[in-house]
Amino acid sequence: MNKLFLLLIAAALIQGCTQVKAWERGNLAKQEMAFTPDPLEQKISSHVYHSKEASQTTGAGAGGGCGCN
Amino acid sequence: MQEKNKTLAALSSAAMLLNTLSSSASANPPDQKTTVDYRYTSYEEGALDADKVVEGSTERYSIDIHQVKVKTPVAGDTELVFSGQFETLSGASPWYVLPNADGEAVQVMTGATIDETRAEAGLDFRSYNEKSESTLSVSYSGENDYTSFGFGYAGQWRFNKKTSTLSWGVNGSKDYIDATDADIYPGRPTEETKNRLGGFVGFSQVMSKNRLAGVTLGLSSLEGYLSDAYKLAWVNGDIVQDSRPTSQNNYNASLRWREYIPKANAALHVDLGYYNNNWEIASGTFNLAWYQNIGSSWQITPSLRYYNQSAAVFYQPFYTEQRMDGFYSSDYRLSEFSAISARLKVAKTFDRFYLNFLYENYSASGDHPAMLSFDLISLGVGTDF
Repeated sequence: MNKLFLLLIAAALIQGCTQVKAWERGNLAKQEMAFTPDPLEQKISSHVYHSKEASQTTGAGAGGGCGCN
Repeated sequence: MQEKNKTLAALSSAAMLLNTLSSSASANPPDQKTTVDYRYTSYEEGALDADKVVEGSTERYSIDIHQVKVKTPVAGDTELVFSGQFETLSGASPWYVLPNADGEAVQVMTGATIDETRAEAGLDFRSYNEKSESTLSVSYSGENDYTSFGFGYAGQWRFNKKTSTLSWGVNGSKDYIDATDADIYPGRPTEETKNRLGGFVGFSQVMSKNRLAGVTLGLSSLEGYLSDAYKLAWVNGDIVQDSRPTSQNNYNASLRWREYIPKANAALHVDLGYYNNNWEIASGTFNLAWYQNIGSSWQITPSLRYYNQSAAVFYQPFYTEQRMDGFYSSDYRLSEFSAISARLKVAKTFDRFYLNFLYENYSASGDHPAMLSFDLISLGVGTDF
């Protein structure tokens, strides 16, 4: 898993980037191209996974709660 | 949300585009609209196999969750986001594990159904300008036995003709633990605290007119009461309180890839995550989602998630010998397991509001007798004005 992860990161970084003009970014601006298209759904998912799995990842924002049981 | 203005809005915001690596901020400039979003979610854990439960109920938790988010402009370049969440929880919970006559691990569940509620409130203040933005966040979460206060700061800087974005942030929380029925169960903690401090840095890049990628690195440190107040462990015939180290260092990395496929009118999401901590738990997460547009107002999104983690160094389902360090935990969440989750979301956009429906089935597999499965149904609705 770790090697696959590193390989994909490397692939992302060495992938050539083309200069994209502002008027060419219509597809990129679509909601489904966002890293988090639905923040409320993402919040529920993160809360469930964080309270039922061991991983404690760090991202932006504040929040908390026990998530025990 | 408003289909008529969607293309124009997309193009005008495109110049500012770079999606954030965070979940609470947006790279688009404040749109001077007030938006209201509501989501109801029903979470229901699957019953355990009767042959794996030696005592207590096989039924587990069910949770009803109500979420609301209101965003409102404060000035031309600032906005305020209020979010609230209210949960009602009921059911039985894994308590401890012991060996049966054949030496196999079997689960003891809590006897009585537990009923409780949790309320959460958060406030984000976002300040935006052409090349950078900042978001300040505060939050509160309250249960009858657990209170948490959180704060966060996140920043972004857009450069390279706004095709590159650097993100960073810090956040932390102070938690207070005061277990119920501590007079009946003397080992349960009262007046304990937990401190958390974390930070992250991320970078995202527009790679082509249909491709976007981002990486994030995060770390956090926890100190204080990190055990589970309500779990026990079987140690060579004795029952002892769940006991874990009082500090934990966490490291995580993620890669997110977004690819728009014009011929299919669809977007592909590939997310990879890696995590480890100094309890020797390491995990990997793989997410795959396909956002299929149908016409101009429908969207269907099937997605798959695979998760795998190793066990904490002190974890055992039960202990046949005492440990020198005194750490004991038979919590399934610290065991080695893998989980597969399948999701399907259907979304419909109207002129002034949207509706969406989500179903998720999650199933974990491992050696612990209380491996988790759940079904989640969620309904979202929102509007702006």
